[in-house]
Amino acid sequence: MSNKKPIDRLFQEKFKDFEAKPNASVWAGIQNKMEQPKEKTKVRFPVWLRFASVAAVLALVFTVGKFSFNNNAIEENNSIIVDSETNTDFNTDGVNNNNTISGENKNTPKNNNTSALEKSESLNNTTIVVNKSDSKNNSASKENNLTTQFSNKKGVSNKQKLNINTLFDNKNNNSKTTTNNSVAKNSEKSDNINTSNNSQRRAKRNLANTINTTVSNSKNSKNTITNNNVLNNASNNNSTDNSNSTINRQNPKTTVLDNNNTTATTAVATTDNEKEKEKMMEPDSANSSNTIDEALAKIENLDEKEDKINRWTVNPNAAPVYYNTLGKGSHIDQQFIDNPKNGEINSSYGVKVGYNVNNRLKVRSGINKLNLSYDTANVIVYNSVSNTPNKLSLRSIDFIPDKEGQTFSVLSTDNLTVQQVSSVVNDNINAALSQHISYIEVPLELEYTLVNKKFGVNVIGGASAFFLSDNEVISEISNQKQKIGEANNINDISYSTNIGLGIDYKFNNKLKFNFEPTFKYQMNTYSETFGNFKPYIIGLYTGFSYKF
Amino acid sequence: MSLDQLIDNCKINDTKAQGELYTLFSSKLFSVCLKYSRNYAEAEDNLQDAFVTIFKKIGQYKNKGSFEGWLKRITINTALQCYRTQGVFDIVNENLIEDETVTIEDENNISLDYLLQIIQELPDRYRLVFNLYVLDGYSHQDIAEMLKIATGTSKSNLARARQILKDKITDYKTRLNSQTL
Repeated sequence: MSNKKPIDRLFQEKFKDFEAKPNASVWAGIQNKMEQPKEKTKVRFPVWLRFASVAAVLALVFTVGKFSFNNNAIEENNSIIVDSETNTDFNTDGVNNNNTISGENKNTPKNNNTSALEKSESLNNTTIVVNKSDSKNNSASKENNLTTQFSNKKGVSNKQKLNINTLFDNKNNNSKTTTNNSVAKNSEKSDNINTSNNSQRRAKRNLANTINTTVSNSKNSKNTITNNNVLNNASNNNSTDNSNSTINRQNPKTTVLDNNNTTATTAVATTDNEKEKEKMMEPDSANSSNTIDEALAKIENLDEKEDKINRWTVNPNAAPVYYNTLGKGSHIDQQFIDNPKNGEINSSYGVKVGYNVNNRLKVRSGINKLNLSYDTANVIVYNSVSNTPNKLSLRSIDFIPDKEGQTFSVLSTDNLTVQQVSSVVNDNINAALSQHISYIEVPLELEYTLVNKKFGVNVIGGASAFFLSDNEVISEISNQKQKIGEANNINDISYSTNIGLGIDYKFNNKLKFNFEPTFKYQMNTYSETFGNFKPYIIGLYTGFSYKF
Repeated sequence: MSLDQLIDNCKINDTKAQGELYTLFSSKLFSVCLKYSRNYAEAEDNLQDAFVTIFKKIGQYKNKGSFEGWLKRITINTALQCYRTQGVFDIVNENLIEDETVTIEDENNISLDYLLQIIQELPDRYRLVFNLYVLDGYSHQDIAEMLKIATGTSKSNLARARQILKDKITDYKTRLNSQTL
C-alpha cells in the first residue's frame, strides 16, 4: 500500500504535461471560418468581381452547354452515360438542358424496361416516373439506380468541361472500341478513380466544403456482365458517398428517360465509352479537375460569403427639394438678373441601392425622379403683336403659340419706366415666370459611417447625373398657370456634386429609417446663363432602407 | 521566426503565420479543450472556435504577460461560453461544503486517458469547477465570477467533483485488481 495523497495532486501531476494533437480537420475548419473576414479586405472591387465571375461562369456554361448539346443531339439514341459532377450553387437556369448524367446498371442486356435512366429535360420529352418496383426483378440494379438518381443534372459538370474533348473523341470512336479489357484491369482502374475522387473530396472539404462531387460511373457490358457488376458496385459505392453528401443541398429534381429504345448495343457502346473515358481520365483528371474545382469553389465561396454578410440594401426615399442659385443671375435672360427670384420646394422620389464594401463604407446608386421649379418674379407676359419674337432678349425660351396662334413674349418690369408700367401693365400681366424642370437623377455616392449604433450618423459624398425629362416655362398670374414655352438652354444631361449628412435609426438589423439632408451643386445645367447663375439643390431625403 | 514576430504577422492576418501559431499551440490548447468538454468532438469544436477568436482578437494582445496564458484564457472562455449559452449554470444553489481533502492512494498505473474520461463524465459544472480550480489554478472567487455562481457553490461543486472522481478511481482500481486476481 502506498501513501495517500490529495486527489488534486494526482490530477495535477498527470495533467501537467498533457498535450493532445487535434485532428487535421480542425485546422481546415479554422481556415474556413477565417476566410470570411479576409475575403472582405482582399476584394477591392467586389461588385465588379461578382458580376465578372457570374459572367465568366455563364459564358463557360453556355459554351459547354452548347457543345455538349450538339454532341448529344448526334447521339441522341445512344443515351449517353456521362460522369456528372455537381455544382449545386451555380443554378443558372439556362444550363439545365444538356449535361445529364445518369447511371444505369443493367445486369442483363435484355433488361430494357428496367427503370431509370435519368436525363435532362431537353433531350427527350417522355418522362417516366421511376418506380422502385420496376427494378424488383433486378434487385442488384435497384440500389444502383437509386444512387444514380441522385447524380444531379442541374449544374455544370466540371469534369465534363474537362473531358469534353475526350468524350467527343470517344463517341466518334465508339464503333471501333473493343471491350476486351480484363477484369483485373478494370477494377484497378476503378480503384484509381475512386482514390482520385476521394482525394478530390478531401481537398474540397478542406477548401470550402462547397462543392460536392457526384461521380457516377456505370458500366454495362454484354460481354463482361459479371465484371461490370463488380465495377458497378465499386464505382457506385463511391458515388453513393458523394451523392448522399449532396442530397441535403440539392433538390434532386429527377427526370427520367424512357429507356425502352436503349438496346443492348447501346449498352455496349456506352461501355466502350466509359472504358475509354476512364483511360483518358486517369493520367490527369485528378490534378487538373482539382484545380478547376478549386477555382470554381473559390468563386462560389466568395459569392456565398458575400451573400452571408448582407451587403445589399434597398432604400426607397422621398424628399422635399429646394432649388435655388448661389449667385445673382438668371437662367432666362440678361434683363431678369435683378428680378426677385425664388426657389420653390418640390419633390423628389426614387429608390437607392446600396452595396456595403465594408462595415463603414457603402457604395450606392439608384434612380430618382426629381422635379424642380424656380420662379422669376416681376415679369410681364404679353402676346407679342408681331410674329417675330424679340430674339435678342429671349433667345433662351422657345415660346409656344397659344390656342389663338398668338406667341407670347416676356419682359422684365424693371426694364420699363414707371410711366410705361402704368400705361402698359395692369395687374393681370404682372406675372412670375416659373421654370419647371424634371430630371431623372442617377446618383453614385459613397456613404461613410461615422457612428453605427441604434442611431447612426454618416457622411455622403458623390455625384449625380441628371437626365432631363421635362422642361417647361410657365407664367403664373395670381393663381393662373399657363405654359408658354420651353427653355432651350437646359442641357439634356447635367451633373452635380453631392454632399450630405445622413442620420439613421435602426429598427432592427434589416430595417432603418434614414434622413439625409443633401446639398447638390449642379454643373453643366444650362448651356447659357446670365449673370452669376449657379443652381443648387437641397433635398431632405427621407426613407427606409432595407438590408437583405 | 521569434514568437513576437509570429504574433505580429498574425496580427496582419498572415495565413502562414496563423498556421505556424496553430502548429505551435494547438496540442497544448487542445488538451485544455479536452478537459473542459464533454467529449472529443465537442473539444474539437471548442478548439476551432478558440483559434478563430484568437486570430480575430490577436490584435488586442499587447505583448503583456504570457502569450500562452492569453491563449489558454481564450480557450477556456470559449469552452465556458458554450455552457453559458446552454444554461447549465442554472442549477439550484448548493451550499453543502464537503471535506476538501479528499485523498487517494498514490497510484501510477492509472492512465491519463482514464482520468480524462472521468473528468469528461463529470456533470458539466462539476467538471468546469474542478478544471478551473485544480488544473488551471483559478481561485473560487475567479470561478464564481467566470461562471456567475456563488463562491460557496463553487466550493461545494469542487468537493462533489472530487468525491465523484475518487469513487470512480477506487472503482476502477478494484476492477483492475479483480481482473488481475
